[in-house]
Amino acid sequence: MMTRTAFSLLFSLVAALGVAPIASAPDEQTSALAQAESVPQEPGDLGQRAAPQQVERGKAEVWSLQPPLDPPLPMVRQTVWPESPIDFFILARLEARGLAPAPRADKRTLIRRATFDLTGLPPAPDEIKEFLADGSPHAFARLVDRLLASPQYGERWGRHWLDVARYSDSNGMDENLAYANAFRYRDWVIASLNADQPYDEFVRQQIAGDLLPDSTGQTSRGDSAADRHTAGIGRIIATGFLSLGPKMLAEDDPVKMEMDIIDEQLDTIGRTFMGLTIGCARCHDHKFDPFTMSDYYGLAGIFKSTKTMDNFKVVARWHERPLGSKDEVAAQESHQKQIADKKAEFNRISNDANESLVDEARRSVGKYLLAATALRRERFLIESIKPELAASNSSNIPGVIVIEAENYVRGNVKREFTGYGAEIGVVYNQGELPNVAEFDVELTEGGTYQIELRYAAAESRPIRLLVNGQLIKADAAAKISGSWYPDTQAWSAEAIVRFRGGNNVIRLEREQPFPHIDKLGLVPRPSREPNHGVPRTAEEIADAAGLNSAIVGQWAKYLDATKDDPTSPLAAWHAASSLAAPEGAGPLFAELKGSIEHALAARYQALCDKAGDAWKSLRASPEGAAAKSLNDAALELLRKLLYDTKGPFAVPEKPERFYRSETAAQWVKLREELATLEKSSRPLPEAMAAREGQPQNLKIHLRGSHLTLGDEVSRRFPKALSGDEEPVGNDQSGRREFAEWLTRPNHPLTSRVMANRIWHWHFGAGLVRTTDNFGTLGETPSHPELLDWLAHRFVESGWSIKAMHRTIMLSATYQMSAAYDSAAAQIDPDNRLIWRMNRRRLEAEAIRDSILSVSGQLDLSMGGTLLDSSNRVYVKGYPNSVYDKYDFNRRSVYLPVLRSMLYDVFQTFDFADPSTPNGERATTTVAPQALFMLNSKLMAQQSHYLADRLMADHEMGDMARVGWLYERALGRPPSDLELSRAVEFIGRYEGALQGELPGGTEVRRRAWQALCRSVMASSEFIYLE
Amino acid sequence: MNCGCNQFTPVASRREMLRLSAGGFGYLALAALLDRAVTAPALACSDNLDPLTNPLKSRPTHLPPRANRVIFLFMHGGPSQVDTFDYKPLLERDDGKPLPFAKPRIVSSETGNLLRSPWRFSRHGDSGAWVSELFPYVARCVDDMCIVRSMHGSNSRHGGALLELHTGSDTFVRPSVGSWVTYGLGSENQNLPGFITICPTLTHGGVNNWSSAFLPAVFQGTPIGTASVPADQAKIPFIENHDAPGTQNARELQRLEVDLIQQMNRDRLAVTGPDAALEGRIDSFELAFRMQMAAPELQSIADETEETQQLYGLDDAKTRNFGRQCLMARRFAERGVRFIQVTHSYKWDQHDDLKNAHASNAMEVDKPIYGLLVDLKRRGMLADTLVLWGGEFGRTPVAQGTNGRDHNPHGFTMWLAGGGVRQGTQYGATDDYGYYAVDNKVHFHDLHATMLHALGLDHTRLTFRHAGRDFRLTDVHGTVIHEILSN
Repeated sequence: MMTRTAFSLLFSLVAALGVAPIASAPDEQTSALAQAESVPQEPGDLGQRAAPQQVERGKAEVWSLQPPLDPPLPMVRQTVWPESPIDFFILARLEARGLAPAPRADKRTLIRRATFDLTGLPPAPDEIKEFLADGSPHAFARLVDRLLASPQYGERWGRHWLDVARYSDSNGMDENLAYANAFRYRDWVIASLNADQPYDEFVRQQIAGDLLPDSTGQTSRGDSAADRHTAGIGRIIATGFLSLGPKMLAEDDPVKMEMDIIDEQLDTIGRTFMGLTIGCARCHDHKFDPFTMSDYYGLAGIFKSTKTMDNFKVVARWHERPLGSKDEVAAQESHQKQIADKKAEFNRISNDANESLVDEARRSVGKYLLAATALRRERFLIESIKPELAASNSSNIPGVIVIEAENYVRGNVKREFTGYGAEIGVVYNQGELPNVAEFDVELTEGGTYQIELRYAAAESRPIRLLVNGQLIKADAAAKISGSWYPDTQAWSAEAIVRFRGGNNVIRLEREQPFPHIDKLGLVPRPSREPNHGVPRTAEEIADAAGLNSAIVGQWAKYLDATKDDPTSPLAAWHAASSLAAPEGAGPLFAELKGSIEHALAARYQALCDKAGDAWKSLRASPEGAAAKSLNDAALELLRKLLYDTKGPFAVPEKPERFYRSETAAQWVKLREELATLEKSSRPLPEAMAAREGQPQNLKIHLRGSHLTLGDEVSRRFPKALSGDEEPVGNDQSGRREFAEWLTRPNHPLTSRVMANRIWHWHFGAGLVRTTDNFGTLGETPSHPELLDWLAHRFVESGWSIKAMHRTIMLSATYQMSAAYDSAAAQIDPDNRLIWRMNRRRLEAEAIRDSILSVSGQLDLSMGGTLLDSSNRVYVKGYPNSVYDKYDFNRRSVYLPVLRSMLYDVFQTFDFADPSTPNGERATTTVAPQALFMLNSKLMAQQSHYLADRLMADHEMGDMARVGWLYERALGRPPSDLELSRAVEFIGRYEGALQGELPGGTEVRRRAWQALCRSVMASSEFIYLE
Repeated sequence: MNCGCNQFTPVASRREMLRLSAGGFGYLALAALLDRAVTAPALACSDNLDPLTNPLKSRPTHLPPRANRVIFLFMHGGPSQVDTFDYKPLLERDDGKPLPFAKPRIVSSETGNLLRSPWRFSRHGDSGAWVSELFPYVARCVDDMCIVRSMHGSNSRHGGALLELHTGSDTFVRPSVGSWVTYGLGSENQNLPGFITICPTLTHGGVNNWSSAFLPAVFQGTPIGTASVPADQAKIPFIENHDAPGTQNARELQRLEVDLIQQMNRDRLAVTGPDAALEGRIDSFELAFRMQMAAPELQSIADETEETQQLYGLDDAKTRNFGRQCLMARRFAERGVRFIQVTHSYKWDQHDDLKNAHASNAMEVDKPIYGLLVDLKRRGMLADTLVLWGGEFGRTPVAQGTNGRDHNPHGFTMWLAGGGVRQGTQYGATDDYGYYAVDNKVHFHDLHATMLHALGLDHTRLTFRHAGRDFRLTDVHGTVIHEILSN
């Protein structure tokens, strides 16, 4: 037989945060213990989990569904202690168990406790001094008022709320996209708390802010432009609450995706505002609480009728709304419509013009074939020219002109006659960019010349070649000769150019250094008609034939691509046009070959016209409107040639070049108008938000599956809470009615759940310890009357959260010390009866903020976003590395919270999982936290700053330094022992470093840094008494 | 803190030794640790034992365990069953023909007709299991394996399927299998995390695939590197000092610091009176200090013989990276880490280029996996190590394009080997073409239930109360498939 004490211990072990795995304590054991524990006591004495098998379903049995009573204050024996009604409830329970409250905490402890509690920061030494000096009985009340008025209050308590709102700056789940506008919701929360917005309104706005009357608007939307806007914007931002959850954005089944998103919203609303796990009723009637599937789908219909998503495609897009006054939003919408209209008009004009451009060309297939073939022959000519000057006897070529590069007349390149230019003389870069060299060439009469260059290059350095201001070649001298030296100097043929009589200017230029150029050569070429022997360009050929030069180019490319394809409709053309003249054939052969080409081109034209006509008439007929091809295989081949959008008749690049003048003028005008419109749009900032969707009911999803549907359910609220109230009207989602119903003063859960949350965040444990579960499987309240009393005061105060802080903090209960009492610990080891203050470890944010605060680095500016990722794109770093842009000195509440990529400092210190509402953070004590203290960059940096601060004052002695450090970090002076131990540590550390490092200053700084880090790593620094 | 009921466990073997010391940093240190790190004080005498301060303590199981740890070789992207372990003669015969039955209602991409496997299959081992020529080395181990050819899940996208495989839910953030296992069993080594994931992917759910969700954070997988970090550069978070003074005696200096911190913490404890968290914090600093001494040795493979390194393919550029991951997995297993995941990065997603890419992927992992199985076996560790191989889904027997296959969660292959596994067997079957699991279907929930069973955990009793519900890895589903497990 176990003793009662053993039972108590065992119970507390098993129940503590539910951590002990069932592997070592099966359910039966837990409930047996619970019974054993509860038998000799009054009901509800200690909060505990009811055993599942004892649960009776129905409203009457669930305590939290009963309206809160307004209980009278209980009688107490010790009447001196109570300072507030709260104390009567606490003391009565303590006295019943023979316990006494712990003594009042000393003033240093109190100011540290209150400052952390309300602002998440340590008190500054002068604040402590001021509080210690204030002997008035109202000193603490004044302190509380000062803290509640500080802007840091909203950051601290806003962060608490963000835990239960599962706030995050990214989606997480399968596709980790950035919620770059989520911060507006965070800033709205902070501003709302600082303004002490009534909690009922705070709740209503998050569920249905967009549907509430204008007069209740909040003022901030989280950026500087916010101040222009007063009403409305905050209420839109607030509905981001519905949208912030994690979603499977790449779900192939859109219906499942939508129902999963609605389920996440319901689950969050249920737990956050009511402490109910209504999500359980998606698949089956709730096993323990009085909620049915009908209740679930009645509520789900409300959110099915609400729009938080733009679509449910893979990857799905969540809904955002522009932020501005009604007029601004209307103006933006009309402006966007103007742009869209203008764009449509512009596109229509362009498309019509393009189509007529191409369609006209399609009627000249034959001409294009001939022109493109001619162009290919000209190009072949250029590609096949060889440097004539390469031959050793080249100087004998009649009329050749060779110019030494170093004889340039204008330019900036270096002339070199040794090394690179040994024996030959070259030009190369002398540092001034771009490199330029110009040559004057005087000719008595015009003529056609092949331009050649002699150069050496170990890497490709293409230069631009211009003659008389005309760009001839953009990549002249691009070859690699093998070195920069004379031994690899070689000639290359670059272009064929027509020079005029009189002076000509050849210009070489390059943004970067030149290759090493030795000579330029001009080799005369036979001058023949029509172009003096200069290869004709596409433009010249097209102009002569009255064709479009770009399309001639496309045709040439197409001929290149199909020349070896026997299945191409152009195979016959390729065969004919590549006929080679037999050895010795005279000019007659060429002429007759030309006749064949002309005749073939005409035949192609005729066939293409036939195919084009057949296609047009087919498409014009009702049965052929959706046709994708012609039936006749040969014609279909030609149709593809004509209509392939990547073929020779593709719309050319920059087609506007070829528009008729009136069309071109219209096109330019429209483009300018569009650009002006687009330039003048100042997009409003956007927020993730909800709006009304199509009102509709849902059918019950049997076993939670959308593939097996049952009866339709009207949109309504859970029956156990609303009785037989009418369903919401058919013409609206019912979201606003739901928000109003949820915040009725007599709603049994809303006020209780929030009062309990506030208590939990002050004491580290709620009166109901399961802050997010007030259902049958949650714990019952340790002090049910006190919880009801608080809930009543909360509603009476106009749902003022700040009033609740005052009520709680000015109680003697709150001001107890955390002193240990072995007798009390025997009776109530878990402190359920609150015989002392709980010792609490600081949260991740408070730890980081304290470190920055003590080191003097904390930046207290408020609001805005630090997220380094664009909206709707994958979070930076994804998928190759973890997001690591946290190097800011701003308060932790402003650091990005990324699902699946949580900041490692947050992760290490039990930050709330942002995927799910979480009102009770875990507090683990694990080795990685110690590793963080010893090894992290943050600790290294900040202790460095802190040490620098200490060293900066040369007048200060070491004793004074230690005192300053303790006051700042721990809020108290060091004891004599601590003082001497710290100074001794400095000495030992310096000693260990001597010989390792030169210079006393650095050794000293390191030693002080180690001391600073140790103080910040100590338990006292991160535990609140 | 010494409760007076500690029992010293004799150091029996090299493995035991490694497990206790996490890497041989001196006998004195080991001896000093023995009473804290090894022995688990009985519940009744630990008046300040908070489950959160010693959550990794080894715990008793529901059932006699067949295996004591898990190594999960995760092939991210979805390897094709019909090209590896699920031989389908009819698929070969009917290449190019339409699938003779309906495709699933929800698919990820458009697919065409049947596509035969480019690889030949043959029978292997005494068990005669069919394996394709993609896995010549692994094929030698079929007599140690149970090949499950009837796996199925319900999500056709990588993200959903990964989460389903790793956490049992493609809808909510839930604890990972590794977290559940560590929560259920604790760890065999108090100096190391109980759940380590080597080079995990950050895509497709990322951290959620190894997160502890609502379980205490201590059961979270500790990532060593990421999928984009080469295995030899993977590190434990915060294990390296960012303020290394560049001195010879950095460790000694840090010890001075730890001593001061501990002095302050003990002083504090004296002021506050008994407090489990403050006591736990003092312990955590000692553990942290030991961990960082153990880590470098743990992650180095310098003491592995050349023969061992070659066994894992470390001598070949193609197999070096995954080989090193497998070798690290064995070293962690040897030191008592409870759940080790090794991820072959997101490479198996052959919507096209099946022939080249599947061949290349298989080559990268084939020899290392063989090396791991052989090495575990010869060290006597395969008998109590459950090795699991597979991806988040398989691939369609019908073609996507001309040389690719789409995602297929409806029927695919995973295999188990080692502790608790009925060796040299195959379980379940897909249809004639390998599209749908049809005989003895095994859902992820069933796989999870079976894995827990092999570890001595009853999946219906391994629960955690969160938000008013007792949560399970298998939710309300899951059947233990006894045919997969040894008698």
